Amino acid sequence: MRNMEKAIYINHEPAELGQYGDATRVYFGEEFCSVRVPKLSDYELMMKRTLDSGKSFTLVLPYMPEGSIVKYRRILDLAAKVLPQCEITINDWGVYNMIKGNTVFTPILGRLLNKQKRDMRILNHLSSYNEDTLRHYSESHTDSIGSQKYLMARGIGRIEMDNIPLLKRKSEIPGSIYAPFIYVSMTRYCQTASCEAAHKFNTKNTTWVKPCKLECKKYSFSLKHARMPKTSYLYGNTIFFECGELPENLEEMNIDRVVIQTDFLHLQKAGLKSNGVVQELAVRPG
Amino acid sequence: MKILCPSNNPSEIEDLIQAGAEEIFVGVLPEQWKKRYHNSVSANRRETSNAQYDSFDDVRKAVEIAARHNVPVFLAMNGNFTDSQLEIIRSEMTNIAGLGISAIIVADIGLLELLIEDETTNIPIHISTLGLNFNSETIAYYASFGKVTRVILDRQVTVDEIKMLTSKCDGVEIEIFAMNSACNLTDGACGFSHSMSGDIAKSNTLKPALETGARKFVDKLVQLNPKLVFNKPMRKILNVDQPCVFDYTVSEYKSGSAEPMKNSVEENVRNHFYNPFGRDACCACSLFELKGCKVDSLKIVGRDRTTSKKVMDASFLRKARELLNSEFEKEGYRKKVQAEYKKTYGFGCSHQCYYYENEYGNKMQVAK
Repeated sequence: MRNMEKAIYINHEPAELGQYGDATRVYFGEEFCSVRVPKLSDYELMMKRTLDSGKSFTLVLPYMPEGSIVKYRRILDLAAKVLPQCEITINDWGVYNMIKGNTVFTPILGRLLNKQKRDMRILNHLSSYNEDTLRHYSESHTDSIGSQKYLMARGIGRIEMDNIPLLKRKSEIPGSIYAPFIYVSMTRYCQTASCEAAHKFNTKNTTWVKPCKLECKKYSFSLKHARMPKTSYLYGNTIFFECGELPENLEEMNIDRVVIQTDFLHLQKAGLKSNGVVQELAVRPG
Repeated sequence: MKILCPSNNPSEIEDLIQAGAEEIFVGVLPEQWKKRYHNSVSANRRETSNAQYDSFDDVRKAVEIAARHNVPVFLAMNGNFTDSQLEIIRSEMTNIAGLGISAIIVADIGLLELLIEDETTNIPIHISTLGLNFNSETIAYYASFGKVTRVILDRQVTVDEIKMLTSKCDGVEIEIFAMNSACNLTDGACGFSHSMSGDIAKSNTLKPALETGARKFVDKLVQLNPKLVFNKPMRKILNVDQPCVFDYTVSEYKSGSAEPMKNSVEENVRNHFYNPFGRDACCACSLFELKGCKVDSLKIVGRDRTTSKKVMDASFLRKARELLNSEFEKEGYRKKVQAEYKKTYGFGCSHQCYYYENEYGNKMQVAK
């Protein structure tokens, strides 16, 4: 993995970059939750810190509810002013629509729009499914020739992806792989919101929609079920699995960047087993 | 607001149309597909065989029957495809174009590219909810492809957002979810499979009364004692092969909070997932708020449900729409609709609202 670019991903709060001396790129912004998109001033601070550190910058935005259009536009305008050459992660085609006339940004396809088959129950079926079926679970739709043509025609220069168990890839578009966690699913009906509320079971209190007081700052959860071969983790409105070791043939798969999700380092501090990815690749003090 | 009904076999088309269906959508797996893939691998986001038509011939029959009533039939092809799967679809394109379908429902960008580029096939495109359709910019983006005639909004939009989006989006139809299969997770951003076993038999071979009977039984229990649904035996009975509603063992580990708070937050999260109320979700009360909006189509979901359930859904929704023409105020409309619900299904409304804006004050608490 000699030519592997190392990027660190900071989700919410601006961070000092000195501790990430090893990384040459900074991702900043929320990927999954429209409520936790950082303030404009935080984006500005992180853009300036990145600029000062000589690293490259990738701006991250999640899916876009109608009411967030104005905020996202301001963030994009700021990026055009401060760091016009930066990458913009497209997790909503509406965001792409807003920047498509801008020739200085480099749009990259975010994980929300890369529909990898992330269901870990595939591990229960490795011996029972045929080769074609397993291939279906190992490839992303973004790798088809038609999809690549579609993406390249729109200037999408990179695809963000997860280290799913059977990962296979053949694409002309370079890819980034995330560690140490695989995103599986997210929701606008956040499971963590209102989790401190007193619960009363009745037919009028079965709503999935609950007021958010950013309980995700305080709580994270592990989820276990007999049919799920691995423990999953609920962090805010998103479900993750811990990913395995990175494949050795990343270069062959045209994957040339590893993105370390620093927000997840607390999971390991909390005593969860480490898969070694973080130690090997990232975040050594500068 | 047309009523869009699901179907999984041609013999139910007449019944659905008589009940109120003004549009129909179907799914089918090409023969090559069935030979190559386990049936957990779907071409249309329903990974069980009971959601599919048996063959293209059956789809053609359905189209012919529906055409006698001027009812269009749409074909769901809203999977996300690998190269070899797209190759199968490409090889069936002439066949698909010859079915007489009125639109093809698409999520995959490779298939979108294929359909846009293909000048020989002029089938209109509906963008599936898997396109993650939450805002007017996304709709404008898809509408810029000439062949896209409709966008299906995400299930998790609010009533206010539907109003905004329909007022902003000209030149493309808007479809919203109306009944059944609400989900705790955002479909367009979900990497889970609906069924990894994919071995459920064609439900129409079961007695249609079975599903209705079971539903009535559960609803009666809920009315008698709502806590029952959350009790251990019922968790086992109602648990299905879908991780979005698994009865998880939940452990909180980050805050280090002590009992009983720890137990309470874990229980809340557990019950958020394990929530059997989404299956029969309904938007009828919200129609009052949407009166006058340019919602073109109300989608009833559940190709795999029994014909009797589909017929009840279509006739109930038709009645709810008719009631919009009455002089009722919001509260009067709601009461009338809920009375109609009880009359149609034989049990009362259990408040499984698709769009959270009703008298219980469950207004959407999301960022605007």
